[in-house]
Amino acid sequence: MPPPFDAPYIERALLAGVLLAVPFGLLGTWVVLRGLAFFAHGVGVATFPGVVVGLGLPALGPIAGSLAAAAGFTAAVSLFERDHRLRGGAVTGLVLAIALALGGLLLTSVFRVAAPVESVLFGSLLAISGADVVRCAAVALVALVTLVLTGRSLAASTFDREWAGPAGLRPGRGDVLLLGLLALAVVTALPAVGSLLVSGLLVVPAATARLVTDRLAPMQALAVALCALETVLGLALARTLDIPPGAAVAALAGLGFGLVAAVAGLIRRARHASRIEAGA
Amino acid sequence: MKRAAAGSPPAIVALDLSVSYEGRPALTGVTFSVPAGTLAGVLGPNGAGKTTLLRALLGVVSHTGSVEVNGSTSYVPQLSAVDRTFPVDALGVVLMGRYPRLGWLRAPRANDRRVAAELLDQMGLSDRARSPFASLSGGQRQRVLVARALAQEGEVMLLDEPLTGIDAASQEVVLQVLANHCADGHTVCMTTHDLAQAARVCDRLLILDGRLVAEGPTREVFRPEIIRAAYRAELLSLDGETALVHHGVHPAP
Amino acid sequence: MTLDWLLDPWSAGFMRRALVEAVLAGALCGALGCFVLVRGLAFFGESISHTIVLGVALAFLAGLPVSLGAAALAAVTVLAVQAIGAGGRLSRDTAIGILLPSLFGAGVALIALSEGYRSRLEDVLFGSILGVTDADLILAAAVAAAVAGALLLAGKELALVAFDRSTARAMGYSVRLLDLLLLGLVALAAVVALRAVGNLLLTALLVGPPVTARMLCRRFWPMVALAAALGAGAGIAGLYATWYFDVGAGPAIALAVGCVAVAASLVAQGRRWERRRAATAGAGPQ
Repeated sequence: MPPPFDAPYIERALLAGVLLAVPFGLLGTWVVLRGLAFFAHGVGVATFPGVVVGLGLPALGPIAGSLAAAAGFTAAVSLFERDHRLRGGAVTGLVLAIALALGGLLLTSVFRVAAPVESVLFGSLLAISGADVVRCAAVALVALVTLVLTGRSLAASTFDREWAGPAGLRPGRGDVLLLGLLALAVVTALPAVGSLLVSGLLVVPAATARLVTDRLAPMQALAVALCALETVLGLALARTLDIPPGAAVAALAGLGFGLVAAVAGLIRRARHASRIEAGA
Repeated sequence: MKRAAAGSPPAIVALDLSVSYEGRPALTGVTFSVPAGTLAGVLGPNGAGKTTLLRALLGVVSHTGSVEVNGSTSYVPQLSAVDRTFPVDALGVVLMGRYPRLGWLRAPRANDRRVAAELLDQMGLSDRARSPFASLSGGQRQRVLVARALAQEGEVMLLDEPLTGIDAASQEVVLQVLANHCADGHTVCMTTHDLAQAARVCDRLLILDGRLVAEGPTREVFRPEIIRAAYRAELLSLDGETALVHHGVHPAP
Repeated sequence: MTLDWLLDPWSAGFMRRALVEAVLAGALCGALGCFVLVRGLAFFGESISHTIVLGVALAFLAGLPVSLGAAALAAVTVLAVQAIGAGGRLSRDTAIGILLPSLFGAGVALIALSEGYRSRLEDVLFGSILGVTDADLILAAAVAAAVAGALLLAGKELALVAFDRSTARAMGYSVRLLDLLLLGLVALAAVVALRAVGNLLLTALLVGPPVTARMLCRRFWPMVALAAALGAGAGIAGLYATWYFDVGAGPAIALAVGCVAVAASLVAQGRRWERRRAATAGAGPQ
């Protein structure tokens, strides 16, 4: 393989990144359409103490630790968010802040784990093992199958929840499924991009795709493609400049969104102008 | 025109229906029935429990007393409940009405698409089938949502304020389609706060004010003293236009 | 003896400066956080606390004051959220969700490219309250005074907009201007608190005390006062923990906030279950 991609660990990272683009692109579409961006960010951040505990207690391991933390975060937010006085993500914000504080405290004062903080927070190219790649493939397959099968029901419930319930589409089941898959995908992506910037892969490519199309299926396909592209370029950048991969991927995804937004804005303005001319 | 076959069971029966939210009563002791094949209007001032009644009929709120709906239901919630920014076109929304019967494994087939396209045509929107839902006017959106409910092919259709806030042309289309739907033997029950409209098009009226004020065929129910009791206001009729005139600070009767 | 235990930490100069910083940042964030809570802006606060990292990195590279860079990026975030949301296709929530990782990622990447990367990154992430200088304190005090002044002058207007936007507009208030004012104040508070608890834990200070106060107060202004007191109290408690148990000050402050909030929300949840049980028991015999 050519220079930035010429080490075996980089091949593993690339493979993992491309595989992860499937669940992240598909889930990201629902995150964007359902306004779950804060939750997606929160569940990533909340895995931080789980990873630290998992690294500190080898019997547990970082994967089980982060899964437990993600599940705990999801449960806590679902339970307390029902309080209408605490709307607008206050609960999400509080729970994720507590999780971060706990993680920071455990890392610096209790376990004194060998892994540097920034690789837990922002990922590391070296951290991706062969087993991680297999896990990415499994999660990609599970997410692809479930999201394709439930896509219609999710679409109808997102569009009009008041209708979907009485119509028998069980929107509650879709919610649980989506949050569960989200936690699973985030945990799988942790070694590559870390817990703090995982939402960059979830939200940004799907939002970019939304700018380009008004139809669901093309939006999902485009989100997966963008996610794969930005991950590959981001990992190459991370290797070339020796910066954390999570930061590189998120920054590139942001750049991609900015470019597409600018072009889409120009096109809209041009069309608007030509319509005015045609009208005059 | 209506063929409410004699002897067939009523489409909707409620006996002593009560609903309360967190201890606050929203509806108390409501008893009524709607014969199959009729267009029933649910009237009442704001907070009278109109939406609550529909939700009880749909079985999505817990209640005491009994509610029986004979046949499957389809539902048109208030327009404001819809996510207007969702990326879907008009035909796609109508097609959603077929999803419950498709389940998770089957994709919509040619027949489902044909049904959806025909319904859009009935609503006078066949030229907007591929337009994003967000780009439609309020009245067009409401027509699409009614078409989605028709695509469910339920026996009993429940609509929450289908005429509120939409243009007169769309109101006419919706009412015409609902009347045809009833003529085919289906039952329609809609809430509205437009008294004149309800009096003109509904076969039966239910008037609510936290409880049942009156119920029956429109010409028996739509009388000044009943309206006064429900709305605490006077019905004023000028050249066929009906309006409510609210009392100021009159002493309670 | 107890008094010694209480006073011992403050014998050191750096702890006294840390105390002032923690109390100022805690009270500031607590009071402002109440507006953030009732306006549903928690995600926005979280986002700003991350995006200003890019400003910190840029200012450091350009040799400018760090606060200046942070304030500039906070302004960019406010404007960009409004611009993306104005397109109509993406919700405000998504707009915030785009900016947070994009700008934060760029900031982390820039810091990673510079010398002495690891220690600087940890300072930004978790704060470095024990290294607070007099200049930091002057900045914190000035910002606290500005925010307090703005809240005294426009507090009831901000509360009105939170409660009922359309009425506020009808009454002739410029709702957009008030929105910008609130977002600007949050950005200012974020710049100050960055020093105290770091960008990762800022949300704890901004959201924790108001959530707790909301559980305990029925009216808005007592809630603001309680939240400010809780924020300052958490700062003091966290510094005691740092002094006696040798834990990081930022995480300790954030955890103090979190413990109180969790206790309050459990109490509230318990009360609600109690009430529901009472309601069903009352409805049962019919």
